[in-house]
Amino acid sequence: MNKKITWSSLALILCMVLFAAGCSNAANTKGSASNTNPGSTTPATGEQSSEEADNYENGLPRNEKVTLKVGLLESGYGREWFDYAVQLFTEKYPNVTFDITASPKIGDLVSTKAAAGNDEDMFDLFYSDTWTEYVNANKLEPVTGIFEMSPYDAPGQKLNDLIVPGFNDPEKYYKDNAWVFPIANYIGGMFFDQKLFDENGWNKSPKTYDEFIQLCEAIKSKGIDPIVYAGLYNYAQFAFDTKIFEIAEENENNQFRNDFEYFNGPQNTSPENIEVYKRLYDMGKKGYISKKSVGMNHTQSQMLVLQHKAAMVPSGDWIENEMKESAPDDFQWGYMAVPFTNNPDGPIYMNNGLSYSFEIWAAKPELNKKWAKQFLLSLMSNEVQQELVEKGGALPLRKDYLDVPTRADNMKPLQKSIATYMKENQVVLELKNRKIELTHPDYAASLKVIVDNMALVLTGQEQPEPFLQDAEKLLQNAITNDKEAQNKE
Amino acid sequence: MHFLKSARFQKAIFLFIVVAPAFAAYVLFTLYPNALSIFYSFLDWDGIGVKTFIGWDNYIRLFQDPFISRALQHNLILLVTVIPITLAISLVLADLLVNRTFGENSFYKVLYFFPNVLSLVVIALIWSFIYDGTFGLLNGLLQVFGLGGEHNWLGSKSTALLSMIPLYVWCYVGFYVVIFMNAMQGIPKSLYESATLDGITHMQRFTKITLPLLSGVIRVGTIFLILSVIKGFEYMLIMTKGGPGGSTEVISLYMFNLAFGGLNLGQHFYGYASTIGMMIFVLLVGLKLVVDKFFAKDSVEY
Amino acid sequence: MRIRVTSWLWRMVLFVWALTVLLPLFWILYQSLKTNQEFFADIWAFPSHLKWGNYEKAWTQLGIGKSVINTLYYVGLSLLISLFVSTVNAYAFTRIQWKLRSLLWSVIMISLFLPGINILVSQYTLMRALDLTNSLNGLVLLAGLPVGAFELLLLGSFMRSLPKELDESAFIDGATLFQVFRKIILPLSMPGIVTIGIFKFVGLYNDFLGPFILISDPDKYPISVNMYNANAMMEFKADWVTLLAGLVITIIPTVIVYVLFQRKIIEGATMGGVKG
Repeated sequence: MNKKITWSSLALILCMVLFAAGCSNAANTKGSASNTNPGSTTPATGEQSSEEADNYENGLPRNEKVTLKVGLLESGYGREWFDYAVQLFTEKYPNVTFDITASPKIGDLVSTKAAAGNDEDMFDLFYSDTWTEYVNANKLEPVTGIFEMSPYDAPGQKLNDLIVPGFNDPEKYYKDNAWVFPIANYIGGMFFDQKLFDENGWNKSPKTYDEFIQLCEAIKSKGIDPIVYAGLYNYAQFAFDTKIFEIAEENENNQFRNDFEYFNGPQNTSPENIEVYKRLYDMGKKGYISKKSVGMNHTQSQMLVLQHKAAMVPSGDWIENEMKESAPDDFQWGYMAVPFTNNPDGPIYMNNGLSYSFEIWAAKPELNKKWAKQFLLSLMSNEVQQELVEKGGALPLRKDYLDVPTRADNMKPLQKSIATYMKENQVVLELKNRKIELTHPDYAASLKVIVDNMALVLTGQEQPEPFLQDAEKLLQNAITNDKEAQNKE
Repeated sequence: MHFLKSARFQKAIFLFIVVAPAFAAYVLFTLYPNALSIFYSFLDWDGIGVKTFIGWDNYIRLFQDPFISRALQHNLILLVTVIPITLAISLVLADLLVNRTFGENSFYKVLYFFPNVLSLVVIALIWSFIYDGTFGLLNGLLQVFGLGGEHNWLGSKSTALLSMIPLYVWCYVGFYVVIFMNAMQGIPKSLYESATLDGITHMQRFTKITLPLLSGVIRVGTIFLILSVIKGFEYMLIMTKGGPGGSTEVISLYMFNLAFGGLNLGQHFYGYASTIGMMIFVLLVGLKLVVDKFFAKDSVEY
Repeated sequence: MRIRVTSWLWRMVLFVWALTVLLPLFWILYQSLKTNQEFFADIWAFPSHLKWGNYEKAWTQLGIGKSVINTLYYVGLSLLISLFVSTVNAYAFTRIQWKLRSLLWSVIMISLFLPGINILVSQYTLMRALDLTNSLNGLVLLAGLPVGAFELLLLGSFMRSLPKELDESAFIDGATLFQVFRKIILPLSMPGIVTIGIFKFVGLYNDFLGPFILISDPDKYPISVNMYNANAMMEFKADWVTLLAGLVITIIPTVIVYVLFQRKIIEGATMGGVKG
């Protein structure tokens, strides 16, 4: 009995193998048909001059069907805003269709497709966080031109002039072009429960470094950890990354930014960098930055703040949306940047950066790329922005966004708190970004030395100087090697 | 003669129908993509741009890279702890489940299997909370017994790597209990029965009969464990990122970060990562030969 | 008396290990019935009231209803093919003498030791060249047809331990190769086959990277890819209770399969015992 069953099941398997082989043939033809068909390529545009009347106001032909393949990052902003933007766009331009693949891990798919090297299979529009490598390999289409265009709801105005100053600026020019199109920026800093601060009478907006240290001391005296952070992911960067510029400004070192951007002179061991690390080490030593931070992920660290076991956590403005289902009902998120200056009027450097962006693949038909740019431009209309801000919880990129009072009212409490902070303090929106990239492996090794040991330094368990010196040695070696390689070319 | 001919014919058919296609598929889908990393290991390639052939440069770098020897030391610590502990626990548990008649055994047989079906992320989550410095379960237990209990297990250089050992053992035991259990069930009962007549104890039966008969499976299990310990890095990737201060960075994690973890390093090194892959390959084959030699002495056929 | 004490001691050992498995499972179960607020307020405390709604949410969020057919098709078919391939290959490699045997065996074993760096990119390129991407049948071919070193090694060591006289006497009695395989070796190898079946099932059911990279149409995703995406979303949304509820749902099929297979092993073992 038993044996019969096994034998017949073996026969069944064999049948299925054959069946599967047959099926995959069917799938083949289907697959190849859909590949050649609508998407990627369309006939040459030059021959169709007789149909010029059939162009849209943006100069692109009405009759040529285009499918844009999108690799969409599904992040904390959700995808409602994107689906809405696609809907608006396809209503207006019915010849354009979208083929969307969405995942929180879309980067894995993008890098696999990129490494496989099949341009036809690649997305037209996608999200990737390691875009400089793509630029170095000449794989990206510059998006500089889009900033010269006008969003349809602001005719006559350049997009460039409509973006909040500071947002996107530093990332715009690498090798003389903009390569990533910003969709949302974050603001980094310290986040805390305003209720807890009010109850204890703590300073919610320290103006100087000394005031901040006093705040930490006051918190610590209550038996609460002043700062805890996700050491695993190096979240401290959101609060302290830009402090070197603040110290440079206080020291009136005007060369500093240029030296930083082009790797001139010492980097890890520059006086500014050493000063920042010394202060962080001291804060750790005094117990202001909890030792528990070292092995923690963001869930654990944010949990401690929700439970009032720690007072402040460095992160980005997404924290409110991320924790909206987990925070106690009376929890009220507040924001501050950490001042490193001791000049009460001196600017405080806030950290900001791209939290969402799109890139365009270069090796695609011209028409696809033109439509991709039109679509990106459409994302900058206040209509789409509103969806992104209200459903996704992002900060608006358009500076005229808040001109409409209802939109301003609908901002999330934390966003309002950030806006208030920026209004009441002299701040600079800063992003730590280099203008050139090093390719020698010792550069990566130097970053690794820092990343590996940062948490131990920040919690006062290891002295910063030895690591900074090790890292600097590797870095300088990389700089020399890269220069030699360039000279050879 | 006729018989031989037809037997040969049968054999040919058998090999042609079942071995050939599966082997061809193996070469195409498994071996070929894997073997490409031999080629990659001679390249300077970030996975995107131009592939530059650089000869033995990556291999030379292997010997100059201080992160490699550090990572290998951590692998060694895990090898000499995780493997014997896992084998011992799972052999004993499997024997207790198969050869004793406790009423609850059939329930345990299902229960012990569970660590195999939990997703990596969830196992990492649970163990992060067990080791947590503030509200961790382990610290809670230690407090009950009055042994302190404010230690940050994964956040301290001295305990982070050691803390990974129980986690690994816990995960692996579930797998090997099932393997050993099923192998023990395959041992003919008659072998035990004649021995029981001679009046031997459970313990003697375990060491004198079961273990020798299982030596083939144990050898395979040891090799699998070596492979998993050296190739594994997922828990470190999620729970410690190789930290603190690199104290839990194992060789595969380093390799993975070079190839895919571009975010922190600023760039990818597919070529160099493949070279490390080649080194791991050589290392694993070497270890396998050692295990074979060790087991060859006392392997038993019956 | 002494035997009784040691027997209880061993019983305790089993119980303690059971606890180390039970407690985390129990933890997952009751966390999955909490609210996120409760989860973040105290990760060890019990829920104030049982929130079954998490399961409803997980069911829709993970698209379990939609992916059931895909999962069944992909996992079921791959498992059948791969078990067939492994069994006959293990037989051919351990109990038939032929020329290239040990060479091919070594070639297959090589894959165990290769660390597989970058394998996804090469596999993706290959599958595209064969036009097998975005097709469940392509996935089945990839997962089922190649003979696996792990399965071959495990099942091979099992078959090798069967007495040689079994086939020899059968051949003398005039049995054909096929008869020996399916009437003698196959039934005796059942415990081994079922063991690799269990692990192949777990592997296929949880494998997300291959399907994620090779399938571009979300309607064809198996459940594992949805689970992978849900896991990854935790970086952006701290919705742990729903994730844990989803985990509990996705564990159930594996446990059912395990219990069914395990029973098969015991049947096979008693059968083997009689014959041996």
